Amino acid sequence: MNPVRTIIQRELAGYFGSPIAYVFIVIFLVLAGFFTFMVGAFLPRGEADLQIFFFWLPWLYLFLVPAVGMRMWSEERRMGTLELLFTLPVAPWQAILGKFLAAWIVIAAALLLTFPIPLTANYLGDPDNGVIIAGYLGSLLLAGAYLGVTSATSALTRNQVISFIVSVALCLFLVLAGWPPVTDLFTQWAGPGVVDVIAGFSVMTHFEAIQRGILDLRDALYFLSVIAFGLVATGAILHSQRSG
Amino acid sequence: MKPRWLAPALTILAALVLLVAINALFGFARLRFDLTADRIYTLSPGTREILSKITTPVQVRIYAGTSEGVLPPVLKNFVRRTEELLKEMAQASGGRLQVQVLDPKPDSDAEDSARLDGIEPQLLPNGETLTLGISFTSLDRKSVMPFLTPERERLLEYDIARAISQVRAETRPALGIMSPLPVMGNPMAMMMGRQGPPPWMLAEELRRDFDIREVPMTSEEIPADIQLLFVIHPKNITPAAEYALDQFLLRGGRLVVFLDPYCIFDGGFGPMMMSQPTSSNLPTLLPAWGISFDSSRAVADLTFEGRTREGRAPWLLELNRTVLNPDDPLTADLESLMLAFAGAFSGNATEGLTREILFTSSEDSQLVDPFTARSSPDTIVREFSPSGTKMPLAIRLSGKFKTAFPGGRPQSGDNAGDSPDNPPGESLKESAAESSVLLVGDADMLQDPVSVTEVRGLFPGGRVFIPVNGNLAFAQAAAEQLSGDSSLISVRGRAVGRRPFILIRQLQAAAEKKFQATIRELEASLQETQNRLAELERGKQEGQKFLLTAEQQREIENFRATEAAVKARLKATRRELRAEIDALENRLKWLNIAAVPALVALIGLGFGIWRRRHSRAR
Repeated sequence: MNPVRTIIQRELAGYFGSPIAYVFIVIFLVLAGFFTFMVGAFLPRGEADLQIFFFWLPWLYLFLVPAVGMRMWSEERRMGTLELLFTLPVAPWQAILGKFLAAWIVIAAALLLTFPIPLTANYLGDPDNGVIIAGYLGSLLLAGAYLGVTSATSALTRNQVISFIVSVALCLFLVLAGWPPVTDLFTQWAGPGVVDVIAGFSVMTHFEAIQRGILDLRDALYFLSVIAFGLVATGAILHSQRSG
Repeated sequence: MKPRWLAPALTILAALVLLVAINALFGFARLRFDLTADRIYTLSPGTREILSKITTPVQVRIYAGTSEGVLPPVLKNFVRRTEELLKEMAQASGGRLQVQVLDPKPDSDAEDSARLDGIEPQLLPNGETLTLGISFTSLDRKSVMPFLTPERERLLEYDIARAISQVRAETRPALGIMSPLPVMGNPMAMMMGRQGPPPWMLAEELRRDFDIREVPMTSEEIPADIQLLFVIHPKNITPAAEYALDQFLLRGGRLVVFLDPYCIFDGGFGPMMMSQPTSSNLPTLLPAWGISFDSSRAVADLTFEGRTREGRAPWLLELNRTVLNPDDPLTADLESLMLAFAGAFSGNATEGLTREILFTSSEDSQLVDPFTARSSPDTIVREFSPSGTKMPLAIRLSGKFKTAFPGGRPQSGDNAGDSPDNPPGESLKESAAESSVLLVGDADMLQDPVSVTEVRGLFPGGRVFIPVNGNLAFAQAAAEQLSGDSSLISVRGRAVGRRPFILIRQLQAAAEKKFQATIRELEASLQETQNRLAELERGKQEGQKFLLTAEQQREIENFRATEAAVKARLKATRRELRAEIDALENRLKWLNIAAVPALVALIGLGFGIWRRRHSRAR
């Protein structure tokens, strides 16, 4: 059997066999619904599109994704099962990928369970469903990017809280990278080329582009490469700890 | 001895570099999928048509840069998207479009070139200057988009397509505008030293594609070189002027007429000149064509009614695609139209002419007195009695027209040209070829307050107007279609598309219908009671000044009680009216926020209990 699959199943059993997955999903759904309908005044607005819903997602994910992912490696280190894991006939990269995919699946499940919201929009009016699908895709990729970062931070420490905080900080940086106050900070001691690169890191420009209904190869590539980077970093960190 | 963290740090750094490199590398790839339902990010067929008509190469220069040298990221992305759009167009044109991006740094060749092309830098609030424009040149012709803003991005394809077709065109066709309204701005006011109203956005837009000529309302003849004439709100039109229009049509000219039963934006300018809204009609021409226009009544519609700051406005029609003719290129690509106090056309065209309906009201409509509709819309709603027919609000007549002035040119003061002294020799009796007349029942829709909204762009000083509905698009499409070139129409059709909650509007309309009878009754009864009360009070004053008989007092109390009861019932009924909608909204809110989470929680709990039980039973 495919080792990655085994790991995924093991992880999923862990997530759904304990309150974690359920608590995450419930809180995510309630908050998403709350922000869309109450704070965002979806119904009074009178427009059949999910802009408000997608507006809040990056911020919800900023805190909820690290919450799901923080235990990915911290838990193993804390309980001392890390070495055990690596004695199994599983290559490290398979374990890393497997854990990542399992967590991503949990997040994707939660995202799918927001189906009442686009259903409501379709019931009340005639929204552009292509844009909605694009929005969901973009949100999934965004969550994946955050998760990649969290995977690396959770490998750094056995303390889940630290992993959570560092992950949130890094993801926040990703979000704010294109923001003038941040770029101004860097313009002081770096040339405009470097500033451009940093601004290009921003999750928001890529997310916003997909939001408008355009699935551009470069935006997809951005998210996938951030995920890949996160997983590679995870591998490097774990490897150094093993040989230490 | 190497520290433990060195190896992973280096790996991570290497990975980071790779990450940046890959993203930069693919920065040139332009593969994307447009998932929107209307394909708003894909080149439209109209654009491709225009591009295919290019014979001589067109040089396109995008000037983008600030005095500091660094564009803010928002603008940078916008410029990138603009450049990509142009590159896509260049591809579609088979290489006849040549695109260049230039940064007009101070003292550079690019800066000189920008100035030569007519693109000036704009001053930003922080003291920097920004240059963001596109110039199109072909041989000795040039057309310029001097100032791009991200707010108008949705119309970018259209603006570029239009600039390209302008650079191609030999001469701009002449378009006459005949109107007592200050469509082109008001030079009189400027002569008097006051700041008159600026030209309408309609005029600005039309000016780009046509050579606009003002035609006085008192004209007895339309100049021979005008082939297309817009007549906007011809209030108090004289028979002589109607004759001029008649002859214009018969010699092959095309007419677009915007009539109005209640032109609310014709109040003069300045606070001193608040005149009553006026109406307009074509009293001789329309009957001759077999059409009639009720210029004393406006259409109230409960399905499409809009809202103003003062509350509901059944006279403000926000039409959507369901009532726009989907087969006519004029309306096929439009999403929405907004009309204010529109009139309806009735009648079938006379023999030899065909009538095409372009857009209508809903069946939930009624012709009402405009003054009442404006001052007390609730009365209109209360006493609403739907006509059950979709009233035509815009129609096109085509075919071979016959003169509406069989007696020739009318003398001043005559009616309908039935003066026997007039020699009929000089006037045309019928058109030699097919002609078209477009008749629209509202002139307010062309005015700025209804058709566009001013958006504060990123930069102060620049006024950016964005269409909020298809009104201007419709007018421009009309001009283009009737002047012969229709390729721009489909490009422009992607106006701002609003997608409202149709279901809630329908519920509102249904609820109104259900309760209006009750509310009407209750209000009548309330009025009656209050009248009686007033009578009784008066009776008291006439007779005994100080004392009331016990009987009178009792009567008064009775009526007071009735008044209170009726008021309470009225309030309750009005609440019931909203009840269904409120209930729906509440249900939706709960369903969305709580339903699925509750289910998941239950499943989780259930699962947890099941596992506990299983692990105990060991």
